[in-house]
Amino acid sequence: MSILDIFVANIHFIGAMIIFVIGLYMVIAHPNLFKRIIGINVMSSAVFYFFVAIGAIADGRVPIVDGTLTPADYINPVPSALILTGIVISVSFTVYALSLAIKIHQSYGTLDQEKIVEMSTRDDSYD
Amino acid sequence: MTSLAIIQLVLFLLVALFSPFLTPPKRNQWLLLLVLIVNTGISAVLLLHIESSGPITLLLGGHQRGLGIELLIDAFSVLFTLFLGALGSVVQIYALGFMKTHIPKTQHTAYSGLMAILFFAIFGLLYTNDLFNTYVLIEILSIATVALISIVRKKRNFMAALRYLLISELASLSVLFGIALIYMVTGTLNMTLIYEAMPRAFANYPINVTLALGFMGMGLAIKTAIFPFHEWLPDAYTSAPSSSSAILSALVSKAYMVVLIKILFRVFGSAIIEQLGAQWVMITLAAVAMIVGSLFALGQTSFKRMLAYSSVAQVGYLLLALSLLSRAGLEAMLFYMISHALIKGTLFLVAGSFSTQHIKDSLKALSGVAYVAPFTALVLGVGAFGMVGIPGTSGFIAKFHLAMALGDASRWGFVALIMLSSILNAIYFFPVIINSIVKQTGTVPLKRDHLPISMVLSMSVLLIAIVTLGFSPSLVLPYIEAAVTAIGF
Repeated sequence: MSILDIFVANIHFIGAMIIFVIGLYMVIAHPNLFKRIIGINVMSSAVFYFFVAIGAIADGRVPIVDGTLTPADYINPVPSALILTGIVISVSFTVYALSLAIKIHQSYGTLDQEKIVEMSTRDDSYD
Repeated sequence: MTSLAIIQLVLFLLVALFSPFLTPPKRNQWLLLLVLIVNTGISAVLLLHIESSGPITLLLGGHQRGLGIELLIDAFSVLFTLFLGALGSVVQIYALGFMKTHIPKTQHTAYSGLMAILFFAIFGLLYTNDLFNTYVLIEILSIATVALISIVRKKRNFMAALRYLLISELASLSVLFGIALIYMVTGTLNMTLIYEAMPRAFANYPINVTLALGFMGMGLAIKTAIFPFHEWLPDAYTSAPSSSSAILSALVSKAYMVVLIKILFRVFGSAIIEQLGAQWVMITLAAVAMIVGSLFALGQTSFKRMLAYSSVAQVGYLLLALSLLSRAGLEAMLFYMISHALIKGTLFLVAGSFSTQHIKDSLKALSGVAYVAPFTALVLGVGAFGMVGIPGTSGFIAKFHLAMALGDASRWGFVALIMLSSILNAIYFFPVIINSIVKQTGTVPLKRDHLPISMVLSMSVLLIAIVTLGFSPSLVLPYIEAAVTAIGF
């Protein structure tokens, strides 16, 4: 099997990895907090894609059993079901992170992390 | 008897559910305390039950094994629910008095609700035997933790909360990626079944298993603040209100540590870890963390920040014990976790007591504090002794066991490293104690602490626990041995 064949056979997994790294780069390298939240969302999409791709088979059917097909014809429904939970978690994360971002923008007037760090003077009294 | 563990989880959820409807908010705090005590009691009953008749496996929803979520209630998970539940109750007693002055009135309801969700997630993480369920509970725990930081409506808290949220979501996704890679080669999410399938999967798909270990290891390294991934910790610990800081450092980080142990020994198994050489990575990170964390702590001017950086060093100790991959190492690690949770929790409560008495959270402001707040200063002293490892405190026994375990594996270099790190601990903790006793300016008559009775009570209980474990560690050692046996050594 040539490298190209391996690439085509695993296109979903390789694609998911590439998207994951793009998201990771956004989270790590971008100073804007809003873009970092989007970066996390890109990463989670990549992981969900990867997870769902595990259950997929070529020409697979939706797993609604009607007695005419053998089990091998259906896709694995477990990853899809798991990822539904994952999407819900991702949404709640995004909502919470964005609400924090709004609060930060209200109190600092910017979402640029470097500027915020500059602005927050070292105050060593904590509760 | 067997479904008691489910009752524990449901009780926490009920508190979270009903907390918005209970007025006045004070009742919520008492309700949460009551549930925590009841659940600790249930854990104690479960521990005795398991001792006599073996571990309990619960298949939720009555599904066949491998299809549904499975809870595994054994000596290991119950030991930690018992300990963390008890410690949580003590911190909650402290919070009864602490909240009045430090958390805005409007947030009291949210505090108890979030705390209940946090405990639900911790108990669930300890009991669950399912990888995807672990991921979901990790997410619940991290969102509840972050919300506890942003509960104080200050600029700095929002920023610390968002940074912590981003980095812990990154970690959770990393763990989920690892889970996906494992599911790909084993076809199951049940930890026991994965463990059985692992040797074959590793032989056929070594890249998948290696990547999975890497992704999950990195995710949990961020969550437990293992050295190069500790950036979020100081801001998160210091900006949270002190009772939350105690929960974060004593309970949440320990819960993630337990997850790390479960993933390493119940999913991958020590044979594969040894084959991949992951223990060398752990040893390196641990050694660096022990020294660098202490050096960072030396440079701090804020008491809470100093405690936070000392936590970074302490995670290094735990990782060092874990990296031995041996029975003795794991026993030392579990004892160290219990001891560190007690001591660090106590010290954060001390920081909260200072702030309740309007003493600023800087090391300078702590000079002569023993004359203003003698009781708090006494607890501070014992806690600091415990961190350094002075005989008579649980910290000494913990370090002693760790050194013995290292000696068994003839890693004498690391025993020396523990000594060096302990000396560094002494260098930054002793000046605090000495400063608190030696008053520089004039003589002031001895005052008494102005603290609510609940705070005094809670700190006294922790003080007694630290000293008791220091003199008779045999009270918990049999349970730790049983727990290590349950992990599979």
